[in-house]
Amino acid sequence: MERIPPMTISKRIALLKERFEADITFEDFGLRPKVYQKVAAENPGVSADRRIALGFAQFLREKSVPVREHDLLAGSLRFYGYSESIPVRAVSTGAGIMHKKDVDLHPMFLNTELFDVSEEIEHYKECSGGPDTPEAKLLDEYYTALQAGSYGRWASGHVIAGYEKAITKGIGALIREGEEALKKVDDAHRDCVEAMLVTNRAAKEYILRYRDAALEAMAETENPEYKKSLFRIAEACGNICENPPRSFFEAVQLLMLVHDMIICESVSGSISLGRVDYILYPYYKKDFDEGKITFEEASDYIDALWLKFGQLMEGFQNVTLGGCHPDGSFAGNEVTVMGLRASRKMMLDQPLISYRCHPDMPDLFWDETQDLVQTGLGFPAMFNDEIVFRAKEDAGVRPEDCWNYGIVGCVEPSIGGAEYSRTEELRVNWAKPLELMLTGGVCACTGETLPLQTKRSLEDISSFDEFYKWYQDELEYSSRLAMKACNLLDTTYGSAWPVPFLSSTMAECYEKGEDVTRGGTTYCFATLNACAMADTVDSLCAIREVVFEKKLITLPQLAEILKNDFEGQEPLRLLLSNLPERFGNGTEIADGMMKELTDFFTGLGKETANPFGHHFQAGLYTVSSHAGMGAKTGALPTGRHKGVSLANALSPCQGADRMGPTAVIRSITKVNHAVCGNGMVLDLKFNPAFLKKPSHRKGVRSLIETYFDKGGMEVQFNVVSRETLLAAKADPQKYRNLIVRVSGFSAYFFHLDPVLQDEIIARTEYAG
Amino acid sequence: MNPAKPEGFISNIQQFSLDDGPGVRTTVFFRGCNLRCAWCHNPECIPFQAVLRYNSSVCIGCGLCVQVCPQGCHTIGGKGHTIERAACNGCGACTAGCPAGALELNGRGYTEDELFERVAADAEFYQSSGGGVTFSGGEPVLQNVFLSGILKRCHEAGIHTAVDTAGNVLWEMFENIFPYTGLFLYDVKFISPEKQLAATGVGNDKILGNLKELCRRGARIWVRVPLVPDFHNLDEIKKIAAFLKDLPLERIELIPYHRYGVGKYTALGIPYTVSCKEPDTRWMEDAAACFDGCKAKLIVQ
Repeated sequence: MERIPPMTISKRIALLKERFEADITFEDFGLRPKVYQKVAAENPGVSADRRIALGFAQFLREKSVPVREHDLLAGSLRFYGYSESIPVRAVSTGAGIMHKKDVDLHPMFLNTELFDVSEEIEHYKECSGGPDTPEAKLLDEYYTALQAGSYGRWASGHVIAGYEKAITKGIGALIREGEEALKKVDDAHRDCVEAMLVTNRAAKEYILRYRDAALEAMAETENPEYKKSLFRIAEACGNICENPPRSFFEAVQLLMLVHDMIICESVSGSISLGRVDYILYPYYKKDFDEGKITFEEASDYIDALWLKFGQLMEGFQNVTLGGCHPDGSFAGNEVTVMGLRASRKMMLDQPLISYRCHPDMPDLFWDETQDLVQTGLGFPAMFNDEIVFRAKEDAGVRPEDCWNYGIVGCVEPSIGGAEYSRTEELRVNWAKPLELMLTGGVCACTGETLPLQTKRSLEDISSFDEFYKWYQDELEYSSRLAMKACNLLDTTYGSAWPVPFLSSTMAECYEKGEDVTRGGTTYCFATLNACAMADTVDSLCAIREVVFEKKLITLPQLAEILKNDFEGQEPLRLLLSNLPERFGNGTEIADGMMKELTDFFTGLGKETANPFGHHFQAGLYTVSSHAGMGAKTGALPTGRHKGVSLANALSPCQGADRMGPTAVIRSITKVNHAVCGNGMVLDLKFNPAFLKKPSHRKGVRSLIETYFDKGGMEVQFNVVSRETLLAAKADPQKYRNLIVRVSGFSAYFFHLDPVLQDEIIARTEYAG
Repeated sequence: MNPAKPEGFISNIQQFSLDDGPGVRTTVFFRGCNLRCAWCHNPECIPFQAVLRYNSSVCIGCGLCVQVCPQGCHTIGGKGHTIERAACNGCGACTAGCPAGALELNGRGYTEDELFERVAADAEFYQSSGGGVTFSGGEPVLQNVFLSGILKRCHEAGIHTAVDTAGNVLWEMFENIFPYTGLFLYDVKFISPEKQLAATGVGNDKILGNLKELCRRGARIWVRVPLVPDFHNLDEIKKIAAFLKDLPLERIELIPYHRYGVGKYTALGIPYTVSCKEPDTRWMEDAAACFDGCKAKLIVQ
């Protein structure tokens, strides 16, 4: 690797950054639904594949192609009709394409009220025998529980599109692949292949529209520098509309435009880029060796690309950096550094950065990743290749495919361009069965009756083991019910909302003549994610201690106290929350129970098949569901009040880990991460100033290395913000574990004088 | 028959310490100190006996402590929660009953096995980082038999050891721990005996003598110099630098005075007497300049 120059930000990038918000396009508002509906009306009776492909093609013809005079790259992103559920109902009735709630949103605004899966269920019933079948009843039961916080579902997006294939082969090659496939395809799959081909041809036209827009902008500007870069865009688009890229710039431009189109087609969310540094490096290397580009010029293109990604706020567009070559050697390169630095320079929430650590990686990459951690953005999430490989193999990925994984959305390892796994389609709230056991099946928040396998009289339970066994049975019942429901719903996507353009970029879809939503690509797993893991383990430990061992209260008494959300029971609530046997302190009972329950849960997923010949791969992470599900979960025996957030991912409950990060790591590595094909999260919090001192950075680095040696898959750093510190000051009990860098030493924030707490709060604003 | 091994009296154990020696460390704070430095940031470690810490910010005023205290130390009334500290004998009954964890008994006895188990739990972290365990305090060397026992145990288990000491002990005490101590973190506060006496309540002949002897024996040493503007003028800093100049030390760490221990004084119910401000960068630069020409690597914290 060549010497890496220090980080700089060019004048052009500074300008683009300044104009970031102003440059986000507000045109086309509501255009996509209109176009799709028009096309559907003009083509009655055609298949969903064809209708969507034609709608997509027409939309690409009609939408705006904004090129500003100061642009370095062409392309733009925005949310199109964002909703959790697919717009199945409208499609099936032929009234149009879009869901009744599937409206276009302001690009800066994500309305979570749109999240609703009832339409999927109605669609299933309409297509599969009406509302009275056993399956329909099961879906009703599932839906009630989902609304009450037992489950989470978000089934769209969540894929690494075949960017690598599209870029390295070129759009023309996709078209040729489609034409070849069409020669061999049987009648059953002809429509699907033709639909993909329609989208590929539309892609070519669309890129040419950008060429023309760049030429127009060029004619209008007086600035010679702008003229030059607009010409570069036009020239590039003229080539990459058909051919593979000839230069680093063209590769970046094609990546941007393919992403632009993938977003146009989808109900977006977590459409991730995969290994951007690995894909782009050969182009950089060639240009650099031939003296055609400098590190700084290439950095400008990456910075500009990051700004484009930034337009799709809260888009969960994950970029994976680092990692290895097929032979296992470290693949980090100059573009890796450009990517890490671009995030530091742009300071936007997009793209999310995942970094694949390697045992042989030079110190430079540690420095660059830690510089990024230091910003407090929370990036990069650090991944341990060895464990991810094992987890993906365990899920059924061929060993020779594992090396090229990237990260989808938050932390979901996925084989880029070959895996379509709906990584957020199911999350099970572990605390809900426990709540229902203690309430006799009545939701503590809504009062509705929810699924419970066995109602039991609490007086009759004589030992903790008996209670624990019952819990496992209920967790199994709840998980199996939801997996059955997801399998039923999975069958609706292929008929309702296929994604032909995405499919055309993915492995095997043309070959098989099948859309990804119908299992067209190599790997189509289902998902079994968890939430409230630490809350559940800690609750069980608390019941074990105060009910069955110390006999401070009976189980019915505890149930009553929880029902009343600890009203008039503050001392007991605090006693429960301060019990020492809680997950995250390296203690045997809690850690052992977590291992047992996670093994049990991931095992349930592994033995349940999905409609595509795969199974449910487990994920032990929560995105933000711990807050959402927490709002719908009653009081717990951990002393947690009704409605309060649950534990984040596999991390200990907030404030329950009191022995520092090494103990947390010892606890969390008791869990087998190598069975989490859908990922897991360990979140560690530090004060930004903590990472300034070289000895501390070294300490954190060896913390990560030891964690990985002990079998850890992922770790991310929450470099604590001012807001958190303010919250910690207002509610010290909850933040007992917050470590802050004070001066020559570090201390628990909880232990500091209030005045000093204020001082640190004030100081944080300047740090990092 | 062997006499029972003594217990060590420990204030607290801090895992993932990065400022008390190299790498990732566990710092064990021993109780008991024979210095009385006005600026001490670990005042809870000064007495040997356990002390009660009270954190008003988490207290819910439930009054359980009032009910369980055999000495009648706690009162909850118009002035909030008050503690009659003179009557407290450190029995800990109130801390066991405190649901909020606002009352904590700081300090308890550990057997060598128990302490070793706590320390060894993080051995993998020490290995990868070049870290280990640091015995600090208080003055850990005063609990000489216990300290040498646990040091030997760690040493034999391949865990790197450091002892953080103020040095005001009989040489024989160092003699006992010397073979098992990988690194000394050695405080040098004053060269002028009258200044040392005024600020810390003891003279410095033993402190300086022991340091020289450790150097003579080839110990690995990081000297730590706390700099408190109320007590240290440039003249005194120059004397410290001159004394340390030719000693075979690996490092000299200058530690600027900070007020971060103030909260602990409140929690312990004892007055805090140092009035000066924290030194600014300029002051520290002037102080650091005095150490130009020292053999050891200079670190300003």
